[in-house]
Amino acid sequence: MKLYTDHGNFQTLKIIVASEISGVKLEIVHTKSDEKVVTYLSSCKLPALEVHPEKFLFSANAAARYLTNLSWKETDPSALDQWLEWESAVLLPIVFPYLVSLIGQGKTEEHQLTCIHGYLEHLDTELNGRQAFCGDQVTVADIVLWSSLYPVLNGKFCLKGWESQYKHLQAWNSHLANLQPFKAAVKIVLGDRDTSVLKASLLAQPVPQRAKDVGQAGQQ
Amino acid sequence: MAEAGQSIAALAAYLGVKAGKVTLDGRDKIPVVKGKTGTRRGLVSIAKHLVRAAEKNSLLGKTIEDQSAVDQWLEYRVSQLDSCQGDKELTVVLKELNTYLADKVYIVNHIMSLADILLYYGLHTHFVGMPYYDKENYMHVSRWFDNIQHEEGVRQTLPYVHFLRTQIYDRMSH
Repeated sequence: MKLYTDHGNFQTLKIIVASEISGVKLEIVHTKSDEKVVTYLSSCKLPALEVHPEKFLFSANAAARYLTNLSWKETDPSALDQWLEWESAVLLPIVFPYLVSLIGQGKTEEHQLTCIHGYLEHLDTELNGRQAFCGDQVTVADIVLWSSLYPVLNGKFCLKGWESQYKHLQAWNSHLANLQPFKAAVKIVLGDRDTSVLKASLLAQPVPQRAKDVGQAGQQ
Repeated sequence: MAEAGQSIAALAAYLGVKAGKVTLDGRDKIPVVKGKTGTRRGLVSIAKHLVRAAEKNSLLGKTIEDQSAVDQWLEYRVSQLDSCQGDKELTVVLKELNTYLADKVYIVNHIMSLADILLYYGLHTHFVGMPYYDKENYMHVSRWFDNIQHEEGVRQTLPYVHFLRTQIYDRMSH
């Protein structure tokens, strides 16, 4: 199965973790950041998982969930729906531009930091007394959230002092980081280098947007 | 919020289930429904829950692959269609769908799914005022839209959108 992506695209982490867990051999095809793989899309949105020849999943969450479902049986699909939707509709439209500013341009704005802290606190509270976001086992919700937050919580550009501020989140983050599938994914996407390798892809990829009719209120 | 609330109400009516009151979450500004079986957060999650409650799970896709394709296009409704600020972004969405639907009757795998229904509801406000030559321009989306609005019970109380049968406009470049 082919996974098309540009170099250092942090959204591929969740797909690679899922493939490692489900034992699906992925052939990673590196393309240039501005190369269009999914022909009907107007942007060069990557990564794209080619499930069958010419049949693509251009949603990284849908691809990760597809791969995990090849080996897991979902016990609470509605809870997973809600976490994956929260990640794509609420979290990523804040985290992505934050990383573009931080890693791409070397500075972040106050309102971005406020939003990030707000969401980390929410996640920390959700993890109080728990090992995972849905039930007590690792699910695609953990994979998706861990992967999208990886550059925020790990490496050279990680948020100063978050470990002491969000203890449950810290335990969860390091627990997953030490599992083989997660370690392997980081190795594949980052090699032995730091999160600065994400820069080119962050600057090239389209920025995820929030839904309009609630958008303005969300970006105070 | 209007579009999400409208879509959930129409979907619940189509499925013959009660949706409950749709409110806006204070922090995340996403639609929320507090029902007997707990709170559901997010348009897609609420819609998928209603389908399960109506025991019409085939609308979510029969195989794992179809389910992930349905999920992908449900996410597309929220992150691409509902995030359109103006005509420029809407044109991008219509062009993408038009290319994608060129060789397809339904969004996923030859059978109507929740993806068709939620995209139809999401596009409806834009199609109501759309001039004929624009509908011509997005011929495949128009054909798909016209087909979905004729599906039994989907349209509910939404106004009917007219499409010209004959192509009276030649292929001028716009």
